[in-house]
Amino acid sequence: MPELKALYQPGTLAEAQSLLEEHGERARPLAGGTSLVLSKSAKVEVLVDLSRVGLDRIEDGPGPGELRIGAMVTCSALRRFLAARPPTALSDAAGSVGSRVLQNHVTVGGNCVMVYAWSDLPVVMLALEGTFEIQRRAAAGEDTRRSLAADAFFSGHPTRSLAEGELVVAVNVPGPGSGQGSAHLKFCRNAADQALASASVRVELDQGVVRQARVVVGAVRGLPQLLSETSDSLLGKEPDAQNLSMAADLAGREAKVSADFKASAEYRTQLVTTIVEDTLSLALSRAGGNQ
Amino acid sequence: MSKLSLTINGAPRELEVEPGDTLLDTLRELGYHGVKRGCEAGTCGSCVVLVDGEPRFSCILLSATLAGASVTTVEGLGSPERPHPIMQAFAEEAGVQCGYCVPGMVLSTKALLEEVERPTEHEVKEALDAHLCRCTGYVKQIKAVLRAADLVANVDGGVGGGATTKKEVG
Repeated sequence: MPELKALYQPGTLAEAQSLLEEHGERARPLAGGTSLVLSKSAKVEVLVDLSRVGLDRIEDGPGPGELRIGAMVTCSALRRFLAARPPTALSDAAGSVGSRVLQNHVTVGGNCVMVYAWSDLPVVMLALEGTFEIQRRAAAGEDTRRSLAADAFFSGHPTRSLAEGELVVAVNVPGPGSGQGSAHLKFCRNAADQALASASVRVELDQGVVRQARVVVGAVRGLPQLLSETSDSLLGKEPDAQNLSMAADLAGREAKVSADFKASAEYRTQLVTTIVEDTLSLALSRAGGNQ
Repeated sequence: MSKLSLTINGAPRELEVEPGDTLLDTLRELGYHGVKRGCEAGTCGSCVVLVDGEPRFSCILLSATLAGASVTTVEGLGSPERPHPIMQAFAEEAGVQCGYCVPGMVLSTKALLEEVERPTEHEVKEALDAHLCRCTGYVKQIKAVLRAADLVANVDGGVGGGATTKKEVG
């Protein structure tokens, strides 16, 4: 951070927002810092550290089984919190972001707002229909909050769709309903590598038939993609090997993939097919145990 | 420059830091050369230290955010004359070749054994997944961590051979 001139550690959210407002374009909020500290951007002159403003709690949300996760909760805190519960896409992802050490840095809010192609939690948020709590400090000093569904939040890059002065303060993740199961898997070349492809799936089984499905892929292009055709193709079907394989093939056709030096488009498409099938299979086995 | 109060290896310190100083820079300037400079991108694990007991990459942590924190470097664990049981295990199991990655691994091991008294091999691999070693191929280091668990349990007066137990962690 070549031009960094000041770092503030406010004790309240209101104070943090005042500081951000005061310094405007030159200031950035600091969460886990994994992307910001490595930033060589000369524009960032002021950092406002959010680690002491009370955004690090995990609470019960309004819906059944829903969790309200403070934006500054780290992946390791989330992983430990979820360890005692049945596995879901959220627990899979919290335990697979980067490495164990990185999970002590990366925050839930930071991972979603600063989404990279390979980020895990945004993929999960889309699959589980999470929502984002966004707070803005109005000019008169009154706070305004809005809630944004993950679909809208990730329709463009969140750093551009958040208005000036707005901060993500929490994410809300609905609990698994009856008959529901979810899973998140990714493919990396080694344990701590950035994913080449990932998938998050939530399915609902009712009397042996798929009633609901959300299949999301990540890491194959800039932002995670909800595969609507693939998801709908499963509705009313029995979750047998043939139907899963057909859905996986469709995912390979539906997902838009990019090529880079790590993987060609053809290879990524093949990864999508494989990982969607594996993730569907895992989510379905969890749904089967939750009826 | 701003003032920073924190604890390093148990000793209270008053420092002056620039807002952009990383903990890696701060510690090395103070002479804690067990903290190694590697990728400087939060990937290789050679700069790992414990902050309030948690392994963190000191290369991507800004010192100015650490007011009141307790930092432990490998120097805080032991010395060549009085090695910590984890250090002893790494030496005995030949988990050290060039040694550059080892201080970080020793500290991640310390955090692991605080959380899990008798880790499984899988838990050891997970705990070390942030640490790149280009010499050993990891096999001896995994053995070293398992041996360290034995040694630490004996030092602490714990009973050996038990199932994995989890302690409360914050």
